[in-house]
Amino acid sequence: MKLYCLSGHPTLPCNVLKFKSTTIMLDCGLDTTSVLQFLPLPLVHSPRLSKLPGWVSKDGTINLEKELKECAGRVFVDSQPEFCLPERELLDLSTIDVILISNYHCMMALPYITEHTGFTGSVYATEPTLQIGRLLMEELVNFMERVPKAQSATCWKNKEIQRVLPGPLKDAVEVLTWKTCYSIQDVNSALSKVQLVGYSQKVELFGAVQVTPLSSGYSLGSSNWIIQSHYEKVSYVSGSSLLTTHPQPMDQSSLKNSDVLILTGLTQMPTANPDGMLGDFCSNLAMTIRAGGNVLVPCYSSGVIYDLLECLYQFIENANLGSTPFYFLSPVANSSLEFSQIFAEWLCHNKQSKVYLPEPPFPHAELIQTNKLKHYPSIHGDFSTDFRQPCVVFTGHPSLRFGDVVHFMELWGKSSLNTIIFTEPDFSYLDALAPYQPLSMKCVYCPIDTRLNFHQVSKLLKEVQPLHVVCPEQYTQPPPSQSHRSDLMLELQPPPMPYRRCSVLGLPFRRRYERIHLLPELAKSLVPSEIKPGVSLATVSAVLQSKDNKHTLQPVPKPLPLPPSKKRKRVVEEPPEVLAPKPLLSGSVPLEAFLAVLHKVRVSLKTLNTYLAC
Amino acid sequence: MIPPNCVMDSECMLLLPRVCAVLADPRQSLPDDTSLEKLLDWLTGLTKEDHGQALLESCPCLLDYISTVCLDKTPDPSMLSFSLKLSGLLAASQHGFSLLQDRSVLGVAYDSERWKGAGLWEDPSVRIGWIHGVNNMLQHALALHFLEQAGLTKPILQLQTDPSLFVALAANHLLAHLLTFHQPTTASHTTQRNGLSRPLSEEGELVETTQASSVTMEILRHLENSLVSDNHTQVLQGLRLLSVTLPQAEAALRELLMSRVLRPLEGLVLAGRRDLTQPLMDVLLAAYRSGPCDSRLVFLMTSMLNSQNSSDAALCAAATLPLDTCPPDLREKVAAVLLEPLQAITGVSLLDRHNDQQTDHRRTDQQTDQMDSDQDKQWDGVSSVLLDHLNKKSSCISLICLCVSNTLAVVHTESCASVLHAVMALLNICNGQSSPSTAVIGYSKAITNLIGCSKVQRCGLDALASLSTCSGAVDLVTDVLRVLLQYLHNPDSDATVVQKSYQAMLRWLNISTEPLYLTPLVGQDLLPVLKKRMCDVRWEVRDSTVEFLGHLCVSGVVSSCTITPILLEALSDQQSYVRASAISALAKSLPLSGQQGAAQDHVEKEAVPRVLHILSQDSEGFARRAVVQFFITWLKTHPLSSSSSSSSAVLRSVLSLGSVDLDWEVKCHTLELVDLLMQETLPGQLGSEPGSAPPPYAVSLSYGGSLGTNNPTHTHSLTSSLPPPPLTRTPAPTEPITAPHLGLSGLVNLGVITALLNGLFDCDRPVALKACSLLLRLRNTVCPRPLGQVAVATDNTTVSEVMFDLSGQVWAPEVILRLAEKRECDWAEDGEGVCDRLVGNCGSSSEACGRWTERSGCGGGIGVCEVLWSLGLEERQSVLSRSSDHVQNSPLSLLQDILTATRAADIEEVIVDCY
Repeated sequence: MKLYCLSGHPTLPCNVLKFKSTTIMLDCGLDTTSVLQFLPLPLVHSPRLSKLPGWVSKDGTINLEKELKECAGRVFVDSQPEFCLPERELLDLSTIDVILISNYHCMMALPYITEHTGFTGSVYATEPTLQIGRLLMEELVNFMERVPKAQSATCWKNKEIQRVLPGPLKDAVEVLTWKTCYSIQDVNSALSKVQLVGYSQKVELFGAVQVTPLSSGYSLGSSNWIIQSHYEKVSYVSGSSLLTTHPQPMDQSSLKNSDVLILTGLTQMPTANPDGMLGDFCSNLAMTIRAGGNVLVPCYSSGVIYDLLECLYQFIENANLGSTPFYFLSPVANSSLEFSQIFAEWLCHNKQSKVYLPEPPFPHAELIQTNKLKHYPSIHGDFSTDFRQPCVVFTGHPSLRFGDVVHFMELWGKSSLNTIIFTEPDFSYLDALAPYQPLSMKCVYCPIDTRLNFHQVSKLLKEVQPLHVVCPEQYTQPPPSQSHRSDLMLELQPPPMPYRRCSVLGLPFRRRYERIHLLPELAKSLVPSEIKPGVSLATVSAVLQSKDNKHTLQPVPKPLPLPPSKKRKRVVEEPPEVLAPKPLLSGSVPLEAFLAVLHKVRVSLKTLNTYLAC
Repeated sequence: MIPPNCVMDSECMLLLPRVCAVLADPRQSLPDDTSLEKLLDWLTGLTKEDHGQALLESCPCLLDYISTVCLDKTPDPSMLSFSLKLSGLLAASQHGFSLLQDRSVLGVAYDSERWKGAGLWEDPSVRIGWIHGVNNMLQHALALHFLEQAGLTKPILQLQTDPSLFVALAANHLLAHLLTFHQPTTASHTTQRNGLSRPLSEEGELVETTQASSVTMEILRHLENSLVSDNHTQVLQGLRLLSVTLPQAEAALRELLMSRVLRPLEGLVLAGRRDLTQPLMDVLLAAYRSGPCDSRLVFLMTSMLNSQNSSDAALCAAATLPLDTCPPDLREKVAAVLLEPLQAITGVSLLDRHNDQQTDHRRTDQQTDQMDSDQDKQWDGVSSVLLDHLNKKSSCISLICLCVSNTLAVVHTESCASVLHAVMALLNICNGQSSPSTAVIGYSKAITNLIGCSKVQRCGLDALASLSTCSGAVDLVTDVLRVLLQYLHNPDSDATVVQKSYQAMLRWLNISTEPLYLTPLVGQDLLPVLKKRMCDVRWEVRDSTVEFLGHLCVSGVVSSCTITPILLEALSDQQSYVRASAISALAKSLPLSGQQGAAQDHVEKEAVPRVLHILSQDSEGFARRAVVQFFITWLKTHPLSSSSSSSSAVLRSVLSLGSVDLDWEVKCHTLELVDLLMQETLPGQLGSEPGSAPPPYAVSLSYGGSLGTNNPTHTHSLTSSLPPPPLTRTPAPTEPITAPHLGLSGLVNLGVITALLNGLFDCDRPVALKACSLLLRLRNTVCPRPLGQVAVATDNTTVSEVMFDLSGQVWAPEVILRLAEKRECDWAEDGEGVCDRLVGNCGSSSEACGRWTERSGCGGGIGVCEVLWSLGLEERQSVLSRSSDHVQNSPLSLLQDILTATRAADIEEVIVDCY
């Protein structure tokens, strides 16, 4: 059993498990942090961004004026943003049998895997994962295609050139694997391969293993996976949460008794308690609005935003912000808000019960009804006529490199009354803000990451008791910035097996048994003899048939009767007599009794010795 | 609870024999034995003065009752218990004792064997009654003699380990009482306690000089045996007895006790039994406090501090700390025990391990090396024990909390800075901020236990606040404030932690000698975070922030101009507590308004209408109460004399709204405001203590105008547009006393009289009582006696002509009725006719008799003084000052209840509702 690690990102995993002749890909997360190296894509022509000076090396020998631009003291790539793909050279992707998706954030690289690689397998995901994943992909494609860039920069990726570039471009890794965004056709084609599954549904893969999604409590439809055969069990834990948010709570008990537990997707912000951050978010928001400023919240169009809106729903009344408009801008804003309301079966119990009242499970429906929350596909169109300040705007993309957020950065960045509040933990807010410097608007970092923290995961592991734990190497040491925080790492006995990008791990357990079925007629013919209480043995002669990874013992076929001679009428054969089985020898020899018998039959010890010596 | 009533009234005296007869009758059973408790409480109150001598003389039935119950072979256990307690109470006087002895009651009642034989002793109530009886009785030598003769010591000693905790505790107290009741004296130590300076000697020497009673010696022998017993309960009870007795023991008894118990105590201390740590420490501390310092005692205390269990050692150290006269060695040890865990966790050096070596110069090098290595071994040993202790979360947190809470008491002047650094480092650790260099190797697990622990954070912040008084603290103000700011910034800080941070910050801001150099820190770092906290989701945080802002105003570190807008915004907070705090904080900023000029006045102009709006509209009582308090402060800082006419309009609104509020506390606060107004309006005449100077703002007010015609209308509108009555008289500075009629009419104009009458007729007793006493004060000071009585005021005519309008008031008919009754009475005395048609018919002046219409027709108002004299305020006050259940709680009611209950029990079974 082997694990191939195609991504080094702990929360955007992409691993391949080879188990019992099946090749299973676990998630295909897309590392989008690479876009921070690129210039933002403004929706409206920006004089500032269009007049940036090109980069030429100090000695003038390297001139990349067309590809690289200097902005706010840093160098950015001026081309269509590119993403860092999972490793594609470690393993032939066409050999992958199935891809298991755990949540919509961890499937963004799917088109890169399933398209143009010879992939012929299937993808398994829950319905909300598929639908919201589709929204996120469509949004990403929309963001890119809305602002097309003719040029693509490749020269700077040359190793010799990259070496002399200023940081952080110089330190960017795996640049050769970076690719521009996929097309909507790729998205449709990739998603057509998805087969929907429900929680606890058992899916047989070639008869060899059974995979089961379990609720992970992180987002709508998010799941952990159990991959098991008759005698082995591997759990894949990715992006789970024990907090009481909108999704169904995490199913912990089914993870018990695993031989191996692959652990990914812990919180990226172990020191930021989501409750505290939510409180901080609200106070900063209120403070800005009261002072007459606007609030910009760069966020994904699904996920934490539902909780943010719910929290604000309660908060705005208390903080006397009832008259402040809240805008949600995204090409998929409408679908996202509406989808969340129809996935009732995937929600926590509290919200599920609201469906029967009847009441929409999420309070944002009421915000929309009362016109407090308005959503638009983009800044163009209706929004520009309805727009009123001071206001709160939720929009993407959290990297601040594309999407409507770029426009608001240009619009509001100059006033110290305004505030930008980062809630998504995926991007460093300082890097995200780099091309907008100098910036007057206030900046607040309230990353809300509801995934498991180290304390919770230690408790979980104590409970489910896996034999071995495999995890990204980042989890086996304290974060580099806080090396004294020994509480921010996994301390387990035996220690967890760390992996990094391109690792190939031999998982530390051996398959020892295989289940074989006996056909009833064969079973009927067996005559077990009890050798000690409760244990019986029987000899069996049979034919082993292996088909679809299922093994069956069948009775030995009778020899075919000879073709009847034309000349002589053949005597009808009597059925063979079933003989009583001979006593079987097993276990240890009762020595004294044995010697006594030998003595009785006049075999002396001496004779025996002589015999044995011969 | 029956109020102590030292004299029995005649009604009770008549009833008591019947009650005694009923209680003594075995056929009658009392369904509710709490009445026996109440009866005993009442009788105890009656016997307080003379140990029951008078009671016995007046109520011989009590003796009969006791004899009947005690001589009965199978009394009811609860009745027996009551009789035993009562007999002890009555036997507390020698006279009563002799009377009971004459009837041979005591010997029978206190024969425990008799009750054992009857099977009654198994009932704990009988045992506890027996103990209380003995304890009550033991007030004179006769009782002690009886105790010795009857051999009661043995059963008492047995009861000390009774399975019932209450019985065992009472027995222990009785034993302590026995020991200290008749204390032995020695030839050399007569009465003084401090003469014992020599070390404790052995028993032999003391017995010769001590005249201890045989009872004392028996108890001591028992105590000694208890302490070496294998039975845990017996040891524990022995220790408890010691810790109860020692504080009351005089020198001779103490010496006797110590000579007996010191050795067993040594054994217990050295055995290191964890379950005995606390009681042992109690005994040692009691011994230490009760007499002169003794080296063996100090040794024992030091041994306790050497406990292998760090928590126990720290507990002992914390208990030792408050000792006033602690030997330096012991004190050092205490400090070491308490500071060591802190040092281990924070890595800040707090202990000088070579202290001893430096002070003792006589040691040879060899000796020193040997000692060092021994000390190192011990140190390592202790450290590993400590480490184990700190690695466990619960023990780590409790130990660190204990240590941190006591830092101020252990800190020396010279080590103050290091302790402060340690506490700051600890707070940084708890916040997850400690840098790797300060974390001590091996303690990372312990540190993990502390990260995010709000209990330790709170203790640390308390300690930090108290350490602000240390010398040298001034140099560390900025560092401390930075730590506190981090706590305020941290979104994960618990609401209570934020509150503690504020408290600590106030203390530290106030010690700064040069507040100016803190201005950048306050302006750039503190104010933004405060503004953010004002928008916190948790109301508790907003509330403490508002309170802190109020204190900041007072401290003067920040200009109140910066703070007031934030507070004004908080007035519209959703949570009423926050609104109330904001109002209180604004009130705190008021005294500064004079100093801060026009800007602040402007703010005040904004604040006053807002808070008035809250008083009239807010649905929560807290906020409204705060508003009235606000105006009390406002009036103190803005005397009416110095403020504009709008001020009196504001006060009129406050009084009219506050006196009819739904919340009784708002009404009470309004009456406080009334009190203040009365004092201000009638300076030198009301409320001031004899001999005290009039208040600084003691100048008179006069809103007189044409009295009786310019009736102030008590409008509920907040923006009353009525022109204020013209100021007709400016008092001369040399004239502190205002003419009463002017003062009174001023009060009428402000609506004070209406507010007081609103209060008087209020359904809430405290409000009515307060209003009644204020009205009484006003009447007695200002109003002349009505006609026919001796006049006290000089300016009778003018004062009695001050009128007020009662139209529209709910209590108007009542006032008129009273007035009419009063007049009827007066006229009857004057020999004139009765004007009964007037009662309740205020509006029809045509039907009124001439005198009524002329003087108090409703259209023209009613004379204030006349109303005040007609209300029967004294009677009202005496009725109101009694609690509403005074009838039910009276002894008479109790006796009647007992009689009724037994009678009812005779007739039919009644289920008593004890809710």
